[in-house]
Amino acid sequence: MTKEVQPYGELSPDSVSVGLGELFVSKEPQIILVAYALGSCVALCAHDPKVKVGGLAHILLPNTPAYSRQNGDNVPAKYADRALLELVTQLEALGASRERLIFKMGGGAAVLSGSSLFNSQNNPLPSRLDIGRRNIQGILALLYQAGHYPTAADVGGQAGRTLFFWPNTGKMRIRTVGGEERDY
Amino acid sequence: MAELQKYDPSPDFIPRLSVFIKAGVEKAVQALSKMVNREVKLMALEVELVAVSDLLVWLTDEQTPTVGIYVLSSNGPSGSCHLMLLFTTQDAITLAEMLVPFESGKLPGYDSQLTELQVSALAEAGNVVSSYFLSHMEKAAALQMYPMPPYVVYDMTGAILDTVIADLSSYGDASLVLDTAMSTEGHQLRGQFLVMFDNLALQKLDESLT
Repeated sequence: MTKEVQPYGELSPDSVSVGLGELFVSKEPQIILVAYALGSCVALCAHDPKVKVGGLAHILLPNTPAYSRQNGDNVPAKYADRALLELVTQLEALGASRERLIFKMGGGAAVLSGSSLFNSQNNPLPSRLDIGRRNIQGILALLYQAGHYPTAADVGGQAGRTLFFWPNTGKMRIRTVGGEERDY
Repeated sequence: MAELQKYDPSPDFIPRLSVFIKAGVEKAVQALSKMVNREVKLMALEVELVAVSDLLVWLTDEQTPTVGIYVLSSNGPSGSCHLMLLFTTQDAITLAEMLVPFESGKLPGYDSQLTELQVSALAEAGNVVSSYFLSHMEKAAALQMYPMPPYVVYDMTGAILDTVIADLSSYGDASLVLDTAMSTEGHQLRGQFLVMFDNLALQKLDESLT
């Protein structure tokens, strides 16, 4: 997949923005993959520590809707069921072994139900809009079915996240709107 | 969940819909003007059929911290309409201070903040704007939808909008988006009013606005 590589501060000379429904894999040591402004979306990251490759899928929904199947939607990482398969396939093409893959994930917030800014506001979302929770559950179920589990997960809550992933090392960094950062 | 065939609008649908929607937005903004007791002007109005997955790119800078006032309106046979008012944090404070002049508080990184009362006032602004817009839809296009209570949220724009995008993606591949800017005379209040219809609502509007 060809994407524009942009400078990313002092952390690395190169970063790749992985947009909604996109997937990117790399074995380049200088590359950082970034999923900006995750709300209910989940970024699923995978890394093979032996061959030092990794990838990120920016997932919108847990399952491919019938509508998309009928109309040939061709966005590889939009739906978790297709994204996991595609992520593993592309990493294997770079020399990874699916048995060695380590998974990490971030996102799946219920942003619309209120943010930490408004502590008194905590409106539960109707099930239709509770997409973050469904994404987390769907991705975990897919990973378990494939014999994997996430070694790190920064998911849920009510705050949006920007996720950085170093495919060469498997490091994941989460940044929230307030500027707080957590490394995994 | 309704599953739909690919939606292809009739050739003159967007121009017809633009006229219809503009009238609805003007009514909604007039209602907002009454709430803040000063004229709120529409500065720009853009109506476009956008692929759902391109919405974030089309709309805005996804990382910008934003205050969003969101109302979901739906009616099974008529589909859904997502209404979103987006303001920068400073503009949200300005609007809140217009709505509740004697309140003050603090937002991260700003000298003043939104109090609980101001957040309620912003939610009420969402209520009023959406009510007027939906009333126009019902009168002009016989499209009846029922709004849910508004949500007021502060986060990155992309994080606020991706739940809406996910919901729209469940129903189809395209969304009609109205993107408008508004301002008040003498005050730097600028905001975006987004109206996003799902496929089912688009088809109903296409049939109604002949």
